[in-house]
Amino acid sequence: MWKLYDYVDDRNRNSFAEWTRGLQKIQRIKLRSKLDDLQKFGPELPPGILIKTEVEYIYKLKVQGNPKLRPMLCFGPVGNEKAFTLLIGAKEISWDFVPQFADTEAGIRRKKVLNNPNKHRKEHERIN
Amino acid sequence: MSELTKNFLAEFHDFETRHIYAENFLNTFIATQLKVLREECEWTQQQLAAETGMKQERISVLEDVNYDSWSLKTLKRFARAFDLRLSVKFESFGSFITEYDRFSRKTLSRTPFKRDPVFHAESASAPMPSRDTSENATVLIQQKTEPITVQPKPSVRSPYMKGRAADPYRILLEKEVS
Repeated sequence: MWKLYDYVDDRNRNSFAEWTRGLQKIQRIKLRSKLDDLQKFGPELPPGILIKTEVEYIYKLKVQGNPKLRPMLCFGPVGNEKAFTLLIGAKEISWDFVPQFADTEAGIRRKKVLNNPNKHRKEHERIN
Repeated sequence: MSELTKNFLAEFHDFETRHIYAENFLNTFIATQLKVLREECEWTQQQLAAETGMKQERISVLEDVNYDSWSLKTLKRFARAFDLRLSVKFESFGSFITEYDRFSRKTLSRTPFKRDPVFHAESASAPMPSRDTSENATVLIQQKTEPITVQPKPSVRSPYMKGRAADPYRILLEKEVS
């Protein structure tokens, strides 16, 4: 099993959990299903489970539907841990991310987690 | 009992939840099994494309857990290319948890007809092919188990192949011969 973490911002808010709560029920279930796959199967066996973005170290998860969810995450990033950190919730509309620079922001957040993991991440919150 | 299993037992009482999970797992299962079977044949996507009469780009699209528009016709073409039988079944949700838990390269692997011990005396000492006892795999590519008479043939040619023998282990055999 892989471990999942959520990014926590400077005000100690779990913005990924907040973003998830704002989704419609069907989308929340689809997202949860993908995250369970990632946690259970990891990145190696299922082809296409993680997709690289243009930002180094940042991957997106594809969750089909309307809207298309594209949560962004990274491996670890602390040491060689068998973990992922969910950095930002995003959607893809007409080939653009919403928020627009979600991948860049995810890269910034990854660095924050790397610099201070105790402050900037916590165990993933499962949202039903 | 794992945390994930506990979650499934609680959350699957919701209709949408259990069906979305089952559909997502079905897509993951098929795409991953295609990749596992292709790799066991030591085929590139290009080679599998030739065996099935598809384009490599198409194989790439299908070998992706995010693809969700499977057709039986397409799956049958893969079954022929791998010389396996395609099994399509409806299953209860009770078996989902076990199958999800067992999901691995090993459980996705299947023995092609050419090496199926049921049909080949030289493989009699090999263990019998394990029947898939999972109850919820809606679409699985499985070993042939029907008792049919086999006429020895040097090679069986697939209607989809383009100038290639439709034997998934052909390349392995060629390597052994050389």
